[in-house]
Amino acid sequence: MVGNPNVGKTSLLNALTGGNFSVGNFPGVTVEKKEGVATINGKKFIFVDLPGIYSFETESLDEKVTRDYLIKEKPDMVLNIVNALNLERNLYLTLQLTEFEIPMIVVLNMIDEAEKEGISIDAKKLSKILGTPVVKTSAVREQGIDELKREILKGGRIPKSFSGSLEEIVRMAENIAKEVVKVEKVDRVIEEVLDEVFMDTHLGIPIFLSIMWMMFVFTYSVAEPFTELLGSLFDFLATYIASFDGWLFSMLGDGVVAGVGSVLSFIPNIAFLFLFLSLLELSGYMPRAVFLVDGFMSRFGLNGRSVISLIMGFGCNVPAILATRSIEDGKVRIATTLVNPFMSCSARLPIYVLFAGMFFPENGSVVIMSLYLIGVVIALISALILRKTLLEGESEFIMELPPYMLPNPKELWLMTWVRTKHFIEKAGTVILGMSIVVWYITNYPGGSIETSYAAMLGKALQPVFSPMGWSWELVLALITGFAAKEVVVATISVLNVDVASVMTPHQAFAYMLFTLLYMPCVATIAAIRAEIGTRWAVFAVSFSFLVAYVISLIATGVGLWF
Amino acid sequence: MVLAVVFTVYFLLLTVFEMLSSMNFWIGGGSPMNVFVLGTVTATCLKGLVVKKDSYLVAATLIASSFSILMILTYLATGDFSFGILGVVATPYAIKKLK
Amino acid sequence: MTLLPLSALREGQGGRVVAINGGRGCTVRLMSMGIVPGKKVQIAGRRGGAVLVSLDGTKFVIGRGLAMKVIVDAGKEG
Repeated sequence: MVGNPNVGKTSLLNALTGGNFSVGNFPGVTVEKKEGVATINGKKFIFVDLPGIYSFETESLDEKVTRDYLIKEKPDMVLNIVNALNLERNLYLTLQLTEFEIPMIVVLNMIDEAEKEGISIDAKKLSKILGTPVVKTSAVREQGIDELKREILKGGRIPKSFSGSLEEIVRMAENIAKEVVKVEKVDRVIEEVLDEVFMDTHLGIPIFLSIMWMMFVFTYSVAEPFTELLGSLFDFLATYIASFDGWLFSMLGDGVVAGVGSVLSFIPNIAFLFLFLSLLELSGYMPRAVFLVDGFMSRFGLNGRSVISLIMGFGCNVPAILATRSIEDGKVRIATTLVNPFMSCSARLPIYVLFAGMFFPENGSVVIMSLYLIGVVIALISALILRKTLLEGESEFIMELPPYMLPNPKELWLMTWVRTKHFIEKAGTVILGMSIVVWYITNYPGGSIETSYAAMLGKALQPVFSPMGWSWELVLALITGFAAKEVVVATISVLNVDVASVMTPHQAFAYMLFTLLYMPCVATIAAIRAEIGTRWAVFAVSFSFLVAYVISLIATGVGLWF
Repeated sequence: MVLAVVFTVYFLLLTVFEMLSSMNFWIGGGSPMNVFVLGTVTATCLKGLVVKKDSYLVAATLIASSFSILMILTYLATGDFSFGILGVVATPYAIKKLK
Repeated sequence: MTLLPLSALREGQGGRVVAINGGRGCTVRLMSMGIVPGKKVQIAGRRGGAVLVSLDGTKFVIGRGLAMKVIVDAGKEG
């Protein structure tokens, strides 16, 4: 099945196979591959839904995957799914497909929508011109599916060849469309109605922010019972296993299960986020949102799509980084991922609460608010710097605004599941390794944290932070915070440090700034690595450490003047 | 048009209640961002009323009903009440218009 | 005849595509989306960055960088 994006290929696959299809990836790439099986008149057919593309002329990954599939896998038949609402443009791909000399059936999908808008297509004439069967369907309403099945049994026909340069193809498509399409009136009622409001000059942005807030609530509040359940399950398991004697049980319980568990308990959040994001994507709202915020974001070298990821970062950077997937432009995507940890996630809040409560009792909330703001400003400035240096290049994008629609639940579920699974697989291995390391250095050689390698490390690294005047306990807390930022507070309480006596308010502020900015937690690093590779993950760690160090040094320096 | 006035007033009331509740005047638990969402719904209704176009009312009720479903889920999950739940009355109108 | 880049058009203003002033890559990308010389386009909205272009009843969001490369004839109105 080959066709442009947004022509209802997945719905057609669903209709043909009766919902019996699965989603996976093409080998070696993160392009989604949908495959389904149907039995028609006792014959078994396997349908493969190839990525939606506009032509074979550009060098995008989707097009390469499709071309390779057609050449190497030699399918028995191509179903070319065409959007009846916009035949002319869809024909570019159809005409290019004729070059492959594979038996083909042209499927005029969304025919009901087209008829509603006064577009009528002469299928017989089109069939004659192309030399292939042409079937009118409406996959959503399951119309024309039986006729399509009959044509599939006949096996399609090798089309006439229409090879030529893209310019020639465009002319041919124009001429064919003139012959077979009749348009009586064109007005897209529901699109116009919703677009008018969703992209309103004044209300567009508030509506966008409202939807973002809903996504936030859905990801964090609605998923909370599941997160807590998983969290306490892993806690229970960890304590239970660690209660046995021996280092092996201690490692398994306190190291592996506790570490992996603390990350796996994010999974409900991640799944809920993906569900909401998939809903936004499939419903057609996403490209509208991109248009709304592009002006603001492009000033910082990012584009409209970055904003969703950055906003999610306030909750947790892990799902936020996974949300960068919807950004097509590779460089913008890397920049968005790299600056994401500067968005202050919810795990950092306990640290601020502790220090702000102790040092700034009168205006704690202002201090905390300022930290959030500083995070945003630094994220945007870093993005700008990255895009001017390492990730230079103009962001050129063009996106079709698809019609609004109610997503198919099966498709929604599959999309959510595949993405969640990807996270579990990729992040799992890294987290496993890191949790064992953290467990080891906080337990050995002495058995307690004060005499552990971690403590030695804290003391050894303390001179690095002597310009800021932090004691080794505070440095140690930073090291353990690497596992998960909320651990910083736990470590300080385990070590029994009277924070108020070892630092001044401005030092405390610098410390909070440092925890805001310094290297992302293990889970976030794992997510960065899974999404954009090991080299960028290393870069992210060193870059954020550098920024954190410089900023908190400046803060300490400025604080000294008062 | 009568409906537009009714919805505008109704969501204005919900916005005010949510605001009071977020400032802990009455029952706590409201959030400033929920106020923002309800305020946006109200403003959208109001704009529909001013420019005399149904489209704004359709979009406003669509947002309000999605928000109310979400707030019901939140209530079930965490026990936090929001006046956004009462936006559910707009659902029939949104469904009817979008059909 | 007034030749302007697509990005310079006002909201609501329309024109006919005359040429695409860019490398092979972006020409192909625009063309395969149906933005071809001879086509009538209209700016359905703009907000600082990207422009919203409507063409044959379909709407596209085009980034500023790309929109600057599309040359349109805005006719007498320009």
